[in-house]
Amino acid sequence: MHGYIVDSRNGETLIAANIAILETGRGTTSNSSGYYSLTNLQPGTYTLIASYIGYHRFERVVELEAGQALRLDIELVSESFELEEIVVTSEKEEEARRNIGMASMPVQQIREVPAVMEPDVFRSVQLLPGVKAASDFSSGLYIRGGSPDQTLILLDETTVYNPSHFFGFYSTFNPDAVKDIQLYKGGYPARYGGRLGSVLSVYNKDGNRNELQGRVSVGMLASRAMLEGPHKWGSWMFAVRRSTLEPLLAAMRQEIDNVPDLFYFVDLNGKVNFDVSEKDRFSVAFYSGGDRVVFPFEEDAEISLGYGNRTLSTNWRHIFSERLFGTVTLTASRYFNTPEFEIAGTPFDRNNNVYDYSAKADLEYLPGANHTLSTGFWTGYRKLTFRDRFDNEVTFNERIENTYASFYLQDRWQPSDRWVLEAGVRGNWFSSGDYVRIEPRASMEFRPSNRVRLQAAYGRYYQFLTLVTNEAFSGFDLWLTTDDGVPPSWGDQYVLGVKSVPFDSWGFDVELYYRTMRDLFELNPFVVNASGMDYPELFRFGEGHAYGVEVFLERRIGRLTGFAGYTFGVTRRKFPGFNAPVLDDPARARFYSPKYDRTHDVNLVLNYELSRRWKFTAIFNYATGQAYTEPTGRMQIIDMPWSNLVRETFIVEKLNDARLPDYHRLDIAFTRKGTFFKIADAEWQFQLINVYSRRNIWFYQYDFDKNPVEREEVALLPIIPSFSYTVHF
Amino acid sequence: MMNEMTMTFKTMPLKKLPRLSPLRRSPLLFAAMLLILAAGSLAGCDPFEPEPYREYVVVEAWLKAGQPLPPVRLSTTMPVDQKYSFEEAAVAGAEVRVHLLDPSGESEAAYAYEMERPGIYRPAPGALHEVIPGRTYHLEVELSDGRQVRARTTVPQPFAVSANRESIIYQENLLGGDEDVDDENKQLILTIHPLSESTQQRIFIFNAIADSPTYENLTPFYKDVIDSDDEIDINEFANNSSGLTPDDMLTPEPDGTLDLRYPWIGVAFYGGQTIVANSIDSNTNDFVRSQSVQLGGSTLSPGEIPNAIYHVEGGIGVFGSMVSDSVYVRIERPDFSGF
Repeated sequence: MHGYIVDSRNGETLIAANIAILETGRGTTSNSSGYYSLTNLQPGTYTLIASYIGYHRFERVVELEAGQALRLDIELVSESFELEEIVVTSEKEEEARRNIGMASMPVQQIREVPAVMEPDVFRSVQLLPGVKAASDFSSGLYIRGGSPDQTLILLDETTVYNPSHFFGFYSTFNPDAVKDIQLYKGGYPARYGGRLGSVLSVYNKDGNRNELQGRVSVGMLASRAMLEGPHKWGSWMFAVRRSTLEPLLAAMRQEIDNVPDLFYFVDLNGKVNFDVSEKDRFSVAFYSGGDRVVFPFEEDAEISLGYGNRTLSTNWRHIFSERLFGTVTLTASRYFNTPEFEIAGTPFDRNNNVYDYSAKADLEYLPGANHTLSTGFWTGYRKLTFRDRFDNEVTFNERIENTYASFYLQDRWQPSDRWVLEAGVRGNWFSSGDYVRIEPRASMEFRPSNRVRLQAAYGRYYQFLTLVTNEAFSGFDLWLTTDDGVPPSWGDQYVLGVKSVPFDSWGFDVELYYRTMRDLFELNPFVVNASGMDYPELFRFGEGHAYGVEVFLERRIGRLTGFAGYTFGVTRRKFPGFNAPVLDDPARARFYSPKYDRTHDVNLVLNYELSRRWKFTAIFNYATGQAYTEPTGRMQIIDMPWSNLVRETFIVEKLNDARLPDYHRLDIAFTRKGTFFKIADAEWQFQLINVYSRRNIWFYQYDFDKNPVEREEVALLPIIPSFSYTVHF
Repeated sequence: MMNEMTMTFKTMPLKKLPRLSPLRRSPLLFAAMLLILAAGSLAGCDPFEPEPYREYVVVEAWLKAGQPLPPVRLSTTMPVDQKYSFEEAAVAGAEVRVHLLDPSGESEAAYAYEMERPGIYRPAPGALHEVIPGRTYHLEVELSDGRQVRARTTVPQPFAVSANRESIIYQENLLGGDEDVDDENKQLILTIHPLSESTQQRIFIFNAIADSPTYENLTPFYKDVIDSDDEIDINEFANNSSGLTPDDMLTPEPDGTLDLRYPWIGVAFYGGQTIVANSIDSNTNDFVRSQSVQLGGSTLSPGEIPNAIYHVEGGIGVFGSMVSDSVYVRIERPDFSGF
C-alpha cells in the first residue's frame, strides 16, 4: 500500500503522519513529501489506520490480493473542521516527530502563543528544550550549545543564509505561509549535512487544492495576507507580509529627533503545484524578503541599510513504484546586505552577497518489509562576494567561489516490532581547500512497551562555513568558508533518549546529549581591518563541547494543552589567545562559557479553551542568567601620540566568569473567535508581553566618563501590550 | 502481474475516547513535581564565582623615530570599582633602562632612566639617543620589591609624507569649489614616500592637530556631536585620529608611493592643521585593535570583554614605537549659502 496523506480541507500533504496495519502492528510514517509506503504485506484483510495530531483518525478495512499494489491516498479530517469535542489521537501517534533529536512546533501554536508584536517561527522554536535565545532582541537559534551558524536552515529544501528581520528581532518565515516545521536538534540522519549541530526544515504550504481560501491579519508591527487555491493542474499559494511601522514613526518624528526616514521589512512567499499525474508532482516555490532602513543622524550623517534573501526552488516528486519514491530539487538562494554610511562627507559602503545554486535528489527504496533504504546527493555552486569601499576607494574586495557535493546512503532496519536500527554514511567534498570528509551516522531504538521508546544516536558532522555576525545586530552578516589553511569544523554527537506516553494524550521525553566541536573557525574578533591580510589570518581556531539533559512534558489534546520543557545545559569554548591568564603565555587557551550558555532553562506553554470562542495562552520562561565578563581592574594609557584621549582599559581575570541575574518572563494572550460581518471567520488576539514587567538584563555597559567606572544595566523588553485581528475567508 | 489500484478515502470520525481515568490528575502532579525538581536544581550551586582582583604593573612608552628616547610611565592597575588616579597608581623607586639591541638581540647600548616623579621616568642626563628606524629596543624595569617587567619593540621603517594642496575648502569635492582645480585634487591627498625597502605590512594611524580648536571652528558634524552630548570635551577632537589603516588600504602609485585620499571625517576644525602620518609597530597595532573591542563592536557578544593584547613580560601596557611625518594644511570654511 502506498500513497499520499493529505488534509481533506485543502489537499495539503501531511508530513510525518502515522500509518499502521492494526493486525500486524507494522507501521510507517509519511516522508517530507507526505508520501508513505507499506510493502511486503501478505494477501489478506487488514485494518489500515492513519493518524496525525489534530486530525480524526482514519481507519479502513482493506483487502489485499496476491501481487496487488494498492495506491491509497488518504484524506484526514481536521479537528477544527469537524468541530468534534475529542479527536481520537494521542501522543503516541506523533511517533515520527519524536524520533531521537527531533522536535516540532505546530504552526497553529506559533500563531497562538504570545509573541512580541508579531507571531514568529524562530521565537516559537526557541521555546523548545535545548533551543535558546540570545536575548529578547534576537531570533537566532542557539541549539544544544551551537551558535546560529551551526543550524542548517532550509525553506522548501533551499538554504536560507540570513533568516532575520529588524536586525535579528524576527525571523523571515511568515507563519501564514508555513505548513510544517521539522527541527533536528542533534544526531540528525545522513540525509542532511553541512552543519555541526542541527537542521531546521521549513515547508511552505502547497496551497488549497479544493477551494479558494485566504487569510488577512492586521497587527501592530506587521500585517499579513495569504491567498491559496486550486488551479486546473494543482494548487497555488501566495503570501505577503509587511511591517507597518510608518504611522508610529511619523508620530515619533513630531516629538523625537533621529527617527529613521525609512524602516520596513517585507516578505513574499509563493508556491505553485502541478499534480502532473498520479505518479508525478511538480512544484515551484519562491521567497523574497528584505529590510530597508534609512537613518539620518547628527548633522551631515546618514546610515542606509538594505539586506534580505531570495530563494527559488523547483521540486519534482515521482512514484517509480510502490517500493521506490524519488524527489529531485533545484534550488537557488541569494543573501545580500548593502550598508551605506555617509558621515561628514565621507562615504562608506559594503556590498556583500551569497549566491548558492544547487541540485539535490533523494530516493527512498523499500526492498522488503523491514528495510527502508535512502540515498541521495546534494551538489552546488556557491559564490560569496564581499566588497568594502571607504571614501569611494575599494578597501577590501574578496570573492570566494566553491563547489560542493555530498552523497548519502542510509538504511532503516526494523528487525522486529521492538527494534529500529538506522545506519548511514555521508560523504562530502568541498572545493575550497579540496576537502573530502566522511560522516558516519547511526541510531537505534528499542521499544520495551508500546508506551516507551529508548533511543540512542551517534553522528559525525562537518561544517565548511562560518558566519560572521553580532548577536545584537544581524544586518551585516557575512559568511566565510574553509580554504587552504582553514580546515572544516567537525564534531561528534552522542544522544540518548527516552520517549514515553505515561498517560493518554501526554508525552514525556528525556534526551541527554554530548557533543564536541573541533577546528572551529571564526573571524578573529581583534581583526578590525582585514585589508592585506592572508585568508587564514582572518580566523581564530578553537574547540568546544556541550552537554545537557532535556526534559519535555507535553499535552496536545484536550481543553488544556501545552508543554513544559526543562534543559540543563553546559557549553564551553576555547580559542588560543583568548581568555588566557593576564601574565601567562598569550597563546594559551582556557575554556569559557559563551554568552548564550544557560545552565537551567524552563519553559512552560499553556493553552486553555475558556469557551468555544475564547482561548487563553500563557508562556513562562525561566533561565539562568547569561554569562558575562566582570572586569576586575583598570588602567590608563595616557600619552598616545595621535590622540588627546586617555585610552581606558579593562583588566579581565577570566572571560565570562560572572552571570547576569536570572531571566524570567510571563507572556499571556487571549484569543477570541468570531465572524467578520458574518461573511468570514475572524479572530481577535490581545497579548501582554512581560506581564509583570521584569527588567531582565541584556548586558552591562561601562561608563569610563565616571570615576570610578559606573556600570549601567541595558535592559531587555519591558511590558508590551499588542493586538492583532485576523480574517479567514 | 501486479495490479495497481487507486483509491481515496475520507476518514470517518470515530467514537469518542472513554473518559480519562483518575490518573488524569497524576499528570498534573507529575508536571508539578518536574517543575519543583527543576526549581530545586536552579537553587543549587553556582559554579560561577568571579575571580578576585589582582594587581599588575603597567608600562607605557612611545618611541618615535628621530626623536630622543621618550619618558616611561610606570604604574599599577587599580580595582575597577575604585576611583582611578594615575598619581595613586604611580610606581616609585623603580630602576628603568632601555637597551638598543644589535641584530643578534644583544644589547648594543644601554640608556639609564631617572625618576622625575612617581610614575614618570625620563632618560638620565647622559642617556642621549635619537630613536633609529628599523632598530629594536628593549625595556627593562625592576621594581623596588623585585618584580621585573620586560618588553621590546622594533621601530618601523622610515617614510616621508606630502600633500597635494596647502589649502583646501572643506568638502570641496562635494560642494564644487574652485573651477580651476581638477576634480582629483578637490580632496586632500597624502602621499607616502617609503624611504626604505620593507616587506612587512605597514600599519598607519593618521591624526590632525588643529591650530585653533574652538567651538566656532568646528565642522558641522563635530559641532552637532558636541551640541548633542554635554560629556564630550572639544579638546578630544583637537587631536583627531583615524583608525588603524593598513597600507593595503592606500592606493599604490607606479613610482612606489602610496596615496591616501584624506577623508573629511578626519577634519574636525576649520583652519590650519598639522596632519601626521604615523607608521606604528606591531605592539601598538595589537594593543589598539584589541583594546578597541573591549567596549563593543566586533563580533563579540555584548558584555563579553577580552583583555587587550600586551607584549609585556611580567606586566601589561604598551612599549610601542612609530615613525611619523607630517604636512601642514589649511582647511577653508566653505560657503554653504548656496545649499
